[in-house]
Amino acid sequence: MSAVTEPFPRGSISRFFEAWPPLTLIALGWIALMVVVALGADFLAPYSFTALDLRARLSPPVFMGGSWAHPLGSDELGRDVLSRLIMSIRLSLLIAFCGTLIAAAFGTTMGFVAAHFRRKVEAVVLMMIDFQASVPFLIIALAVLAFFGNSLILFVVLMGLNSWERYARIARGLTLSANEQGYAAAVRQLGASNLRVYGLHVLPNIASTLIVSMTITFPETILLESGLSFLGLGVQPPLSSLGNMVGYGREYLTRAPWIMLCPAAVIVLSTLSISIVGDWLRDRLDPTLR
Amino acid sequence: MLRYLAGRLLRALFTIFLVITFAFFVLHASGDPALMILSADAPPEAIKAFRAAWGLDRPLWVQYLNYIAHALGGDLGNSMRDGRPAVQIVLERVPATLAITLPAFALKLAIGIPAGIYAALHRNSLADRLTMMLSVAGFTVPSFVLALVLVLIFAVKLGWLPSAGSDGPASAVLPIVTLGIAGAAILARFTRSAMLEVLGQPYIRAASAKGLSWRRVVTEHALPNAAIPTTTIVGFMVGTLIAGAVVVESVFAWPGIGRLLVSAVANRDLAVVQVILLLVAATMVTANIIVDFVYGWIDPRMRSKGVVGGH
Repeated sequence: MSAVTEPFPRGSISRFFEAWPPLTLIALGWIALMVVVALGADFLAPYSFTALDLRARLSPPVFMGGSWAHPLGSDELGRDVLSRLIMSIRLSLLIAFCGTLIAAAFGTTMGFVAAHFRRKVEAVVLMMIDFQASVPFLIIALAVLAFFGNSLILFVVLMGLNSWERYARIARGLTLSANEQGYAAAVRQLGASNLRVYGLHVLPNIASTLIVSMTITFPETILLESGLSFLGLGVQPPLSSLGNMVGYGREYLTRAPWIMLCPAAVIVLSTLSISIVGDWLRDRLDPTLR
Repeated sequence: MLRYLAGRLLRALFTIFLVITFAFFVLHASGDPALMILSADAPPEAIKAFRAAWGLDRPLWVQYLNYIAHALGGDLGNSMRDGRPAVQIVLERVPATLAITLPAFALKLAIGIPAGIYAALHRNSLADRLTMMLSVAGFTVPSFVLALVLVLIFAVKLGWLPSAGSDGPASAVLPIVTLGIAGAAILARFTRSAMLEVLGQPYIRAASAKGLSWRRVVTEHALPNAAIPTTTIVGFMVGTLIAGAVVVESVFAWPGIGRLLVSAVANRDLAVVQVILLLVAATMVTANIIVDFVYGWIDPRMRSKGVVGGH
């Protein structure tokens, strides 16, 4: 985010804001804040996220007439909402990050495999893509969780399988066209292995499209994770994610709306910020996408 | 065209078959249902009797063939919880789900498509920017947050509508609005970009240049062409009529398929989960076939080529 080092011929303020629209800067700022919170969660949280303070149950946040002892209020058991929020941000971001990486890595590999082997292998991959498109992923995820029970590892893998097919389709299409261009054939003639051709030559050429896709997958994964956790079928207590907090806060909607509103606001602001940055990146990196 | 549709139908049936197989194998890879239902410390005789009753003591391939044979005959097993046929339990819930998803679908079309068209025709106007801002919110606000905020405003603060339950039409309003708003935002965005794409085409300029009024250019040239990509997303929405309300039904305690699914997952009532999975896949696949028919109808190019969509 080193905006200052960007060289501008005339160096005027208006030019700066043309390249970095204020909305994008705000969005980047919010994402940076979330990353700092996630990385420094242990130092930033004022209390342990499971610590009870039975004398201060359901105390309102500062902006609703509460005290600074619990800036965002406390819940039914007197647990500090701010501390729980910080820990939940960490877990939600971690799951979304891992899920996005798994989706991108698995999907891109499948796309390469399909484009490389063609024929039957390609048909199988396309069939898997069709299958995934035929059933909403929330339903598949619920079915798998019903059958296998819940563990954090399984849950993260599931989040990764959510949108692999997007990467597979993109990677397959772009690889097919890359294979028809000279450069892939040229390095192959020079004796490069398949791993080298795809890893070092094709991948960098399609990377910008994949990165833009990741800015779409990441908020989707946050929404899916928080939805499942909200239903009580995602992250399990004592761990807490943003969706869990909203689900828990729903019980206290009338008496303590802040328990639900704080994590809900974080979910919305985060997905919104990533979408804004994604749009901006798309315009910069990859004008071919819509 | 007919041959193409026959091919599509075959592929659709194959997808359904894949879903059945997927459900069966995931079911059996997941551990012993007898232990899950009866708990691990049940007496061995009870577990044995349970296995025999559900055919779990036979070889896997026998179970699979049996399962397929029964599935073809419409018998998808009984609920492991209350012993009634799972198909019956699921079908009982369909009317309740449709009672909120169908009005929501109408709401999406009624708001989303006109808003998208208007925004595209008045590009960069205040209305356009407002529509786009709202539609971004439609993408980024999770449905359970939207639902709870609506409950907070209209049920808790204003007390106009019930916050949950299913007594009378009033309790259906908030679920319908929640589903409708989110869908309308997505549809508006798609319609707008489809319209903008079409409006930038040379034939629009040609139509204007030959002296057609702008109104006729829009209604006779732009709208029919923009309808093609919009059909895809509308078709997808038809496909989610059954399963698109899982979260919203849970928030509002609405007794539909979605809530049944969540409780079946929590109770590990595998037969019910399977039937829902199958029903959802069948709906999606049917919706896709309908979309293909509609393509052929609205896009003359498809008819002559006999090829629709595809990879």
